[in-house]
Amino acid sequence: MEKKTPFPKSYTSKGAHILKKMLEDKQLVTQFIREGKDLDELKDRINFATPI
Amino acid sequence: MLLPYDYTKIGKNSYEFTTSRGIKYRTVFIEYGYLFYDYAEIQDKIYTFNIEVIEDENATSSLDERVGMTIAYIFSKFFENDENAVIYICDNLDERQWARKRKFDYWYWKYSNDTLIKEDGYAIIEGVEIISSIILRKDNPNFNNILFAFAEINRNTDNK
Repeated sequence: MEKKTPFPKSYTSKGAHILKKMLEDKQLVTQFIREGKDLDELKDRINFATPI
Repeated sequence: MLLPYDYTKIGKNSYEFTTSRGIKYRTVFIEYGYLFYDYAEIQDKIYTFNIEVIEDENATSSLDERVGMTIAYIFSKFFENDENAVIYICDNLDERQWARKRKFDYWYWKYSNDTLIKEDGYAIIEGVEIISSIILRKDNPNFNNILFAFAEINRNTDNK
């Protein structure tokens, strides 16, 4: 399932959008893991993968 | 001889391993090909990688070499697919992003081989420093496109 995020007008560039999205997701995952929450709760927002 | 720790898959979203000192690590891959819609050739093969301590009975930092070996082993499995590329973003919430970069660089230096290449990225976005690295195989069929895209997303930010 694609989770395309509309390009936000507040960012000045696509690069900023991509990097900031990656960082925000990382921080959210960190928060969930440290709080013992189930990462499945984020599956509608984050494309988790098990590529190995 | 030191060996990597065994890891297990947790659900559909992560992997976990426990060290000999009882420290539990969770590793997470997130797929971001959909964000690279301007680069059709590389969609679906761009991931980020997270590693988190989830349980540390000793509540101390660990210099366990086997942790790096385990990460390297996980990456070796990841790169069995020559099209995969992974971006590591250094978390900056606690302002330890440069320490994370040093650790990641150390692991790459110590455990990588001639089949891989790493490029570093640096951007300032709305006053926030974002440090990243991308790793891919030298024989990745989209090698040039991936590195071009990575350089471009770091270049086209507020302060550049």
